[in-house]
Amino acid sequence: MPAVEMHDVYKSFKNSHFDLKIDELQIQKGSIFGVLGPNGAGKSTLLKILMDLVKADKGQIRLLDCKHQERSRLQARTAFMPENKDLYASLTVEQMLDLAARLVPGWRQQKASHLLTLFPLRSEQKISTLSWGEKTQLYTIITFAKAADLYLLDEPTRGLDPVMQERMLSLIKEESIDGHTIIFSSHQIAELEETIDALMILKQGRIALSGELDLLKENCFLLASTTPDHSARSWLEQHARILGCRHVGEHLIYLCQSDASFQERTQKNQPQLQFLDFGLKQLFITLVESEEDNHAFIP
Amino acid sequence: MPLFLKELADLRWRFLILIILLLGLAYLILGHYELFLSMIDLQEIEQGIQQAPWIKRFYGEQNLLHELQQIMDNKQLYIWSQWFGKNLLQLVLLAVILFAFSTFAREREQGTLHFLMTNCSRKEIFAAKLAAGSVCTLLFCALGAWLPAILAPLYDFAFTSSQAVQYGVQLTAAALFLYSIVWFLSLVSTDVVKPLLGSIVIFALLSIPGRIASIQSLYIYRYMSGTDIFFSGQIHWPAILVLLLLTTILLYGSWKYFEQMDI
Repeated sequence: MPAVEMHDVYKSFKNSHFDLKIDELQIQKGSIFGVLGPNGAGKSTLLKILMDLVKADKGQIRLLDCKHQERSRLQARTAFMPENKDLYASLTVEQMLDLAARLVPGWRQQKASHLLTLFPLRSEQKISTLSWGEKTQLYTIITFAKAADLYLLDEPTRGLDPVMQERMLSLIKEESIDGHTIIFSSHQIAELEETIDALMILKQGRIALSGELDLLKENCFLLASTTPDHSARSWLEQHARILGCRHVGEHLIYLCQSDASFQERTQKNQPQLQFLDFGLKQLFITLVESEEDNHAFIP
Repeated sequence: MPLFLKELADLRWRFLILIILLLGLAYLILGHYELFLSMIDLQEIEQGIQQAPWIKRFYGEQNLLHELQQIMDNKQLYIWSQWFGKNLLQLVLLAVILFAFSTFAREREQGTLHFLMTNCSRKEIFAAKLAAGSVCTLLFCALGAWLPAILAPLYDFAFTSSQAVQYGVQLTAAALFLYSIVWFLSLVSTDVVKPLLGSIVIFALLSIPGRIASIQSLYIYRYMSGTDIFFSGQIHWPAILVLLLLTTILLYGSWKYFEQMDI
């Protein structure tokens, strides 16, 4: 069952060349979905569109079986942590938590108290004096104290020290185990890789790649051609889908999508093509630095 | 309701300071008519007229001094001109700006609108902010209009409660219109400086019709100060209706803007 469905969504901005176009996107309930992309790719805009903070020009969006504009039905079921963790600077931590308890629908006081032990903050400290990391911790408490079904987190670990990052990721995993859907954007590819079930890579407002992480690793291949070789390129074009291609020194690195037998066939017919071990980071860099315009959905 | 209380709490210090100012000024202006009289030295004025013969040419010396004396003896005129026409009017303008200028602009400037909009609907936010500011403006205008009636028996001048209602109605209608202007400026601004400066400029521009006889009916401060009530004893209902209509249009426009606004 999808928690999020987007179809033919488009958003442009006045006085900006940037636009976001999501042809098709589904995020399964209970999954941890990562949104990756370089700066200005549209990650925050996408999350804000889902929260109806930014109005899409067109398209259909459904969250938790409701239209995303039905805020009265979704208010208590969705939680959002924005990129800038801004809260009322003149309040103390305690006053902010009191305010949140009164304003946030579905507030769980016990959960808030538990989170306060995970992310210890001095209750009398003014928010204006908190560091970025401490503000993130406070926002985390407020976000997860809400009994939501869908959590949207925009760079939740930015500015956190490694211990707090680890706690944040554990919290995300726990919430997912409890059946809640988590969507989060991050530039920390390593942490995403160990946490997410599925991901989407955005590039210039378009989906460059999306799908389940395991399948993506099975179906994507990173190859290096040792010499500028037209035959290698035409082989790849015939037997796979080239998702990205970039120069590294005198090598050409290809990111391709194909079936399981692709590696065996290629090694037999194009021995000059070298298969590389890769992780999400290499995949991301190849896609982002590539001039290829293909995109792939790996279900 | 919690959001409304939060908005009221945000305004509490501004409201309190303005109320203290209002009470202090009311005590000074309405309770110290004699002090005002003692500050005007008719002999000095007479000497001044002697040195300015052109005044005598246009206005006989005796006539001028006589009329001046009459004006100074008219306590009703003093109450209206110094309270409704001057001090209360200026305080209400200040109050309207202070209650409205930061409503949305500060939330946008500090980035806290994300927190609100994640947990409350746009309708709730709009209604709570509007209600809190309007309540403060209403209370301030009502108290300002009623103070002469409250102080009248203490300081021996005539001002009835029905007069207070008349002045209050006209003052409140005009104040709400001005409030909706500043509110709109706050909504479309991403920092608090623009609505503050914008409202000062607009309020200054609104005084222009007062200097041009042919467009006196567009002079909003005339209705705020209750000129019609003082001279005719009647509320200027057409002006009230137009002001309420304009306020409604402005607030509806603000809502439409807010409904579609990207955060």
